[in-house]
Amino acid sequence: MNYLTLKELTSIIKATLSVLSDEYWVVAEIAGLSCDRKGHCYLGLVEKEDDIFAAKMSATIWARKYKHLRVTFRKQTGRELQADMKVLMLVRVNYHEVHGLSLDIQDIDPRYTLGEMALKRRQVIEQLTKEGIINHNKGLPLPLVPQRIAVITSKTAAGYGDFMNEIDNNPYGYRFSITLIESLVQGEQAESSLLSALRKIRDNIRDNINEYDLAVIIRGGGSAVDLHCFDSYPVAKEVALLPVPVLAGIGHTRDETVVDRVAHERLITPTAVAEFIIQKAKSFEDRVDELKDRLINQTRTLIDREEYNLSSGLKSLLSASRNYLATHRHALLATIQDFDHTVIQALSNQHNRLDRSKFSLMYLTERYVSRQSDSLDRLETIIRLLDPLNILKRGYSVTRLNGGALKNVSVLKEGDIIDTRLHAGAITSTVKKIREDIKREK
Amino acid sequence: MRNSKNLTYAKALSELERIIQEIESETIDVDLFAEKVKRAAHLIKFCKTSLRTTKEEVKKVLSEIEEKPGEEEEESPVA
Repeated sequence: MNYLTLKELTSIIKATLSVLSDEYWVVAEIAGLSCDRKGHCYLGLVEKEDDIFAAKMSATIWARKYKHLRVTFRKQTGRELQADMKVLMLVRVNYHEVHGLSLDIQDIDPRYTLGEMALKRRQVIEQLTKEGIINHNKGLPLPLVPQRIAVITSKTAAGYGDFMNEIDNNPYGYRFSITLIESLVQGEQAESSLLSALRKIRDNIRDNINEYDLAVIIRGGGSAVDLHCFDSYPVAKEVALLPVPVLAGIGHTRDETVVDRVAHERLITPTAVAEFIIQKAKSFEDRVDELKDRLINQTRTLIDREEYNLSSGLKSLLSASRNYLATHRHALLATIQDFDHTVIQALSNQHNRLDRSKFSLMYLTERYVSRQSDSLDRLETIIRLLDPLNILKRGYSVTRLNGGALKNVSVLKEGDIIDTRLHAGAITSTVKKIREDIKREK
Repeated sequence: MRNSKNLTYAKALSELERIIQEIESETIDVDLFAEKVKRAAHLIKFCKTSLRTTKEEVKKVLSEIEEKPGEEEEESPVA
C-alpha cells in the first residue's frame, strides 16, 4: 500500500498552487481584525450570501506594509480598517506547510470602501426617506433665541472645550443654559452611546424633566477619523425624530454623514455651531434694537409734532384774536361811543328830571309857604278882632264878681259888689237892682 | 390676561412689532400712546435681560419683571 507523508502531501499542494497567478484583486468583508505587538495585522475575511458564510479565509498584513496602508486608508476614507467593512485588496495566496493557506495582503484600494460607505449612506438615507422622516428635524421651527441647549459629546473631546469657550466668552454677554449629555463620538461603542444619549434627551423632553430649545451633536475638531457611527441608521433615525432641532458639528468631513443630512443644520466645527447659536441671539437683539430705535424716533417725532402743533395753535389763536380785534375795532369803538352817549343821555335825562323836581319842590314850597302865610294873616286879623281889648275899645265892657266874668244875672243878689273893666279904666259898683227881663241875645 | 411667565422671545417680538406698527401708523390715540410706549419699553427690557441670563435666572427675572400687578392689568384691555 502506497502512502505519502504529510510533508509530501503539503509539497504536492504547494506545487499545485504554483499555477496560481502571483496576485489577485479580491473583494471581501473583514470579519475580524487584530494586531500583535510587532505590528503584524491578522484578519478574518469572509463573504456572505444571505448572511451565511459562502467563503472564509485568514489574511495577514505584515507590519511594514500595515503601517503604510493604515495611514493611506484612513486618509482616504476617514476610517480605520475594522470589522464589517468591505475592502478591495491585492492579495497573494500563500501556502505554508505548517501554517496552512492564507492571504498576504499587498495593497488595499480605499476607493472601493469609500464607494461602499457611500452606498450604505445612500441606503440609510433612502430608508429614512421611505419612512418619511428624513426632513423631520429640518421641519421643526428653529427658536428665535436658542438658549437652553443639550450638548451631545464626549466631555474630554477637544470640540466640547472649543464649543464651551465660544459660548461662554461671546462678546455680547449672552448667557446660555448648557446641559452636557455625555456620549462617545468615536470608536466601536460610539453608535450605542449616541443612541442612548439621544434617547435620554427625548425622554427628558417627553417627561418634562428638561426643556431644550436645541440639541447639538459635536465632536473633536481636526481629525476626520471614524465617523461611521454618524452614518448609522438607528442614530440617524433618532436624530431625525428628536422633538427639538439638532445642530450637527461633527467636524471636517469630505462627505456629509447621514446625521449631517437629517440634522436641522450642518455646521463644520463645534466652534461654528457655537457661533451659529450666538448669531441667532445677536440677530434677535439686532431686531429688537431696530424696533427700539423706531420706537424712540417715532416717539420723538410725535412729541415734536405735538409741540409744534401746540405752538402753532397758540400763534393761530393770537393772530386770529388780533384779526378779530382789528376787524371789530370800529364796531367796538362805535359801541363804546354809543355806550357813552347813552350813558350821558341817561344821565342828562335824570339831571333834567332832578332839576324839574327841584323846581317843582321850590315852587310848591313857596306856594305852600305863601298860602300858609295868608292864612296866618287872616288868623292874625281874626285873633286881633277877637282880642278883648279890641272889643273893649269898641265900647264893650266886662263885669266880674269875685274875679269871675258875669254872663248871667242869676248869680247876683242885690248888694253884691261887682267890678267893671272898660277899655280905659275900671268901675267898682254895688248892685242895686236886678233885672232878669233882658234876654240873652242870640 | 397678559402674563409674562408665558412670555417668549417670539411673543415679545411680535407684540413689539405690532405696537411699533401701531405707533408708526399714527392711528393710535394720544392717551394710549404713553401706555404703548411703556409696554414696548417693558418688552425690550425683557428681551435684553433674558438674553443675558440663564434659564434659572430667566425664571427669577420673569417673576421680578412681571409681579407688579397694577401696571400690567391696566394695559391689558387695550391690547
